[in-house]
Amino acid sequence: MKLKHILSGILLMSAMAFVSCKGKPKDLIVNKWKMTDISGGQMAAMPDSIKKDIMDKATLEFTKDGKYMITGIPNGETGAYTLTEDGKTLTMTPSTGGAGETSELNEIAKDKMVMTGKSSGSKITAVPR
Amino acid sequence: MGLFSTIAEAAHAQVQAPYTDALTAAGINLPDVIASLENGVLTVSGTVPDGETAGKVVAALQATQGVTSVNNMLEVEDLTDKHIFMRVATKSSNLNIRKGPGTEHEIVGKAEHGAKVQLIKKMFNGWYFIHDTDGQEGFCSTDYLEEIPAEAAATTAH
Repeated sequence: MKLKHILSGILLMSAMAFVSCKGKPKDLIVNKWKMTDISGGQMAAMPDSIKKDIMDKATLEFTKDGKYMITGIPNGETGAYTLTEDGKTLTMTPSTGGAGETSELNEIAKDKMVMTGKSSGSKITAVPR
Repeated sequence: MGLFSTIAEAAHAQVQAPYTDALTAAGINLPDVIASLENGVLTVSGTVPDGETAGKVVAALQATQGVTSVNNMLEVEDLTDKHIFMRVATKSSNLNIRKGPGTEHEIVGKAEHGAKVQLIKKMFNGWYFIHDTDGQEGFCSTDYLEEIPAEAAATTAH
């Protein structure tokens, strides 16, 4: 009986450790990201050489205070972002004004992020830079 | 803009860079002019002030790498808001509507003799991009079009 309790405790602690390791999307997104793939939608026709150049140079950074920065490319941008409670929908609104851009956050982990632009239909995969 | 739009714009700027450089070298500053290369054919679109400038644009871009011919789709004026309507004034046959502004472009439709068309864009060589009442669109010369007086166009617009 005692052993059963000990095993249950270990299982519970392991589960809690797994959850805390997995983390919440709003915490996991806070990082500097480097794109590793751009595909589909409007960007499907982008020449590979240009795609590679952009992926090599661009950095996407989300900060804890709800700001984002796209740097490393000539037309870089800063603005504010929001993430829905379920971590599925990301909205980025540029500081220069204008309509924000909404993406579906398909996957978010400490070491990988995948998002799909709702209007462009393109998919971006990124890893921490 | 957001991430996707920013990347799309960066990619567009990189694709256009050799053409923008060629135009700048020729002393032409027309940011609206866009070029796209496919199988050696460079399609050039956008707005230029006149036919002479269009000629200079084509001459400058013809020399860029990988270009074997230029498909000139430059326009000089957007006429959409002017609501200019004309009637097909062929003797009896239908008027060819083409894929581009010139007889070298393929025929994509025909406007019936007497049909009404709206001029949408004036092209670099005096041809027009038109819509007809059947929903067809394409390019034609005004040689076989006659102007409909504004009042008559208004009464037949619907």
